Amino acid sequence: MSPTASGYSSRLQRTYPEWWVLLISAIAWLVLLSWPNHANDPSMCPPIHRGQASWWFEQSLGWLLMIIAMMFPMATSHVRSVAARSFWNRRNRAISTFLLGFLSTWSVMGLLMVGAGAWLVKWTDAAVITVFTLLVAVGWQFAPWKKWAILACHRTRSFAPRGWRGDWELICYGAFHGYACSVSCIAMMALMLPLSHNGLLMITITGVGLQERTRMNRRNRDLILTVSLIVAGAATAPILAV
Amino acid sequence: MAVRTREEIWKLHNATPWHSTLLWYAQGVAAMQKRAINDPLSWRFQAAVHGFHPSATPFLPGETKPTSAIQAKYWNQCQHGSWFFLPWHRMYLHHFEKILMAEIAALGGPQDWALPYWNYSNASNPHALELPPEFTAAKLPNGKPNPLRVAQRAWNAVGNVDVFPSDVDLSCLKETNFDGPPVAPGFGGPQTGFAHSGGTSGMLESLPHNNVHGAVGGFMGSFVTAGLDPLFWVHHANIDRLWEVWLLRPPVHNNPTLVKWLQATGATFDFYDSSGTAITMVPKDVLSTSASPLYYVYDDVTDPLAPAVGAGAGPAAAGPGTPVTSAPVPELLGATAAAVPIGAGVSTAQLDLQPPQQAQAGTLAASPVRAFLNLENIQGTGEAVNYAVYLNVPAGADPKDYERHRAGSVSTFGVHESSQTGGHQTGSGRSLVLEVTDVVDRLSIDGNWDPSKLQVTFAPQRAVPASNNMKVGRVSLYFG
Repeated sequence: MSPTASGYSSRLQRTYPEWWVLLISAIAWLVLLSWPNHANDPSMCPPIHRGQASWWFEQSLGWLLMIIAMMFPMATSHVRSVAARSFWNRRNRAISTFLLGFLSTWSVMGLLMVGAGAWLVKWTDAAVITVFTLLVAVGWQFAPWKKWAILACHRTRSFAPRGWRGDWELICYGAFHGYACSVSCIAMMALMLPLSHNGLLMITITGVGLQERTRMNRRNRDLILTVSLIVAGAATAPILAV
Repeated sequence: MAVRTREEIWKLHNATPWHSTLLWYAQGVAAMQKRAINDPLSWRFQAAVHGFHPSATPFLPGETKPTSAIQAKYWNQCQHGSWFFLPWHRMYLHHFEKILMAEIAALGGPQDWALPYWNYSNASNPHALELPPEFTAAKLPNGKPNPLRVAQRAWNAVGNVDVFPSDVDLSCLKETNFDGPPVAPGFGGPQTGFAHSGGTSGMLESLPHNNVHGAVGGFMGSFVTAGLDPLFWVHHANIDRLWEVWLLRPPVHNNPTLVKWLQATGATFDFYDSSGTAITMVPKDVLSTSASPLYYVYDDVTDPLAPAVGAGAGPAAAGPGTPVTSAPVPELLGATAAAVPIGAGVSTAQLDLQPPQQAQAGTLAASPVRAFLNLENIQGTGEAVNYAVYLNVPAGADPKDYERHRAGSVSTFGVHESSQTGGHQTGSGRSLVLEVTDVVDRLSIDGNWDPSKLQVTFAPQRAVPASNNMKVGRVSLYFG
């Protein structure tokens, strides 16, 4: 690496220690958008594969990629804070352990969601599931735990600066943040299962999530905007399958 | 509309006891206090805009509160630990002042009344740290109770308040950037969305703002009651004035130019104006005090510090108006592994330091490196108390004997409320930052700086209630 490139890299690391998290998120977006989706497939996926190991693998991988693509940007302020509050030579380790906790919670939620989806589709078709999850996603916006979750998404914690204790506390910090984040966004993310990883819906949900994060004193107009976007995204996703 | 002048309370007192500005302030407050809490123009409604808790705000028998929707929209809205701290409080004071002006005019007072301010940092006034008699006397000149005196304040033996010089230190004016990363948050505070509590206080918010709240105590010691003390408004007028002083201080200081600050992206700030009409404002509406809709100036915005030398040279000072995120994040040198209780006695935190790997080592004064002591996630319950903070005081020694080791003073103002969850509280507690570049430099010159170890001592500045139970989540030191 040339001295100029090295200096630029060092400056990037000092100024934007979270840069590589956003890069991974961007790669996940590219993978998902180039992945064939099943938004127009009324049965969510070819029935012959449903319930098989390959189906579970594909669903779980898709969920994980969606979390990395859509939820990592929402964790950026915590990632930046964790890096800033860690020793220079532990910044990346601290970010990684925080994200490990964050992903762990979302993975558990994902397995439950995928399992529930696989069970539901045995009893009814995907269109009914889509409408059902849309109603839940809209109702969720008005639930009292939604406000708790948005506030909890902003909660910061102290952690030990060194050793395994520091790693463990960062995993717990990430896991709590993942929990708060999933309570806030799980109903919207559930829409992704019947509608597959539809690009338009992914962008809509990510935009709504980012908007909600900053508007801690939500007004009625915010709620109307949020609900409208969710409904519009879900309604147009099957038509404009991206 | 004519531009009004906000004047200093001691200057008014020295001109004539019970100067008409202060007398009308008292009479206007008394008129507002007669209104019911569900009236947006009432004293207690206006105080609740800053903060409200049913157990803390006094109610009259049979009184009804505003609807839940109104409470949710207008109460508990104060911005702390945020780059909205200064503009939100300017909006808040503006509407309060207009409401009070209307009350005063209705009572037959002047049409051009302006809110006074308390310049507790005025080095040319030997009484600057005290309250003038207008705020301590039990009675008005006409014999009626004085609403400017509040019994709940932390009164000292001579019937005044114990504000110490370290509580009104103006080192914050040396800060070059308006905002900054959480470990070095700049003059005005870190970038946030709507932030009722939590986060890291900007340098002006930390000191003198928080410390004056903590030193006065009583209603002033809590988010949810602060606006009930008439001193709150003259204190915040001074904080607002110091924002103007900072902007005018050479070489150059600028407010953020980012749209997300100017338009308050991620936040909505709602108030009632003096006619009781709902109104929403954003920071760009209040950038010029002498223009619409504010129309006021301060009688003194001269620089109280020696002219800045080489301001803006520090790496954390990325340049006037430069967005925060383009400044390198200072580097952690050491932090405590566990929380540090702070209580009635002297408490100490031990930090193992590692050499800076990116920031330059050595004597700080000779380099552009700055040092920041962070008190992260201060949480707990109890009243606001101010603590003197010292570096490397020998074990068992009385910190008061080590003035050259003194790093500054911090307050636990708002810790109780921001440790709670619910409402708009995240439960993170408060985080405070002290710039300790000068003291680290002094200790280095004196031979009292050990680059591998740091001892941080907290000494309460007044008696701490036994019921207080607070701790600093982590004490940490940064160079950058």
